[in-house]
Amino acid sequence: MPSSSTIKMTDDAGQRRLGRIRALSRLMAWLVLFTAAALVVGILAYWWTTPSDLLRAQAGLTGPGLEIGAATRVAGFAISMIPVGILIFGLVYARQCFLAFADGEIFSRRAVGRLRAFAIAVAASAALKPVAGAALSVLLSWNGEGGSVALRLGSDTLLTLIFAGLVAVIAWVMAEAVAISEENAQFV
Amino acid sequence: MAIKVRLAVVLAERNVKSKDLAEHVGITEANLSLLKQGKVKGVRFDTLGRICQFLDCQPGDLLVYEAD
Repeated sequence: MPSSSTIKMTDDAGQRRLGRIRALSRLMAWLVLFTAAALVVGILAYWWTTPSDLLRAQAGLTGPGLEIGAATRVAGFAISMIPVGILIFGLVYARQCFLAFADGEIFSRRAVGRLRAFAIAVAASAALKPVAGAALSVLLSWNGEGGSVALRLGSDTLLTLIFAGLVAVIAWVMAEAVAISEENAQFV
Repeated sequence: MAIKVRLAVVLAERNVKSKDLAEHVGITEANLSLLKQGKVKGVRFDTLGRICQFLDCQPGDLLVYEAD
């Protein structure tokens, strides 16, 4: 059977469109890689350099507290990396997706699977972010006897979940497009 | 399938090689072979037209309906 993994466009407009898709995808693949690296470096720098009072304030804690030590900062970094790590996992799939598009592999089941994995990772990361925030508030307010929990749900979490849903629906639509492409490939 | 492809018969009748026809039509020999075996979902009018042009025949010479 003829392969449908590579899109075939014979007309000039189609070739130009495919060229633009490939060029943008190549750029996006690099941007995704840069973002994933920047996320790790940024969070590491945040936990390494941010003053204790500011760390507590950003975790939703009020009032003065003790100086946050290196062990607590390492634990804070580890907790922060749970949702971010999942997001990076999703970004890896997004990069693979863009690299496939850059190679001209547009309508393929692999690309659909990667897009779906990216959507799931973004949703999981968004859902875990408030949980990680609550865990951080406990960690940063811990005084040996107990701590306080600050659970914060922002509009950014909701928007991220909507974005993940949108990508998931696009992945489904692409699955339909792949089926049409495969059927079209069986026409000579 | 009720539609049978008679391309192989017409090719043999006219003593034409598959390679030459594939080249004229602009499809691969593999795809032409699939078409000859009726293992395709459909034929584009453009492809059909080029085949008829090369073989000097009508679409009805290439495709026949057989009741199941």
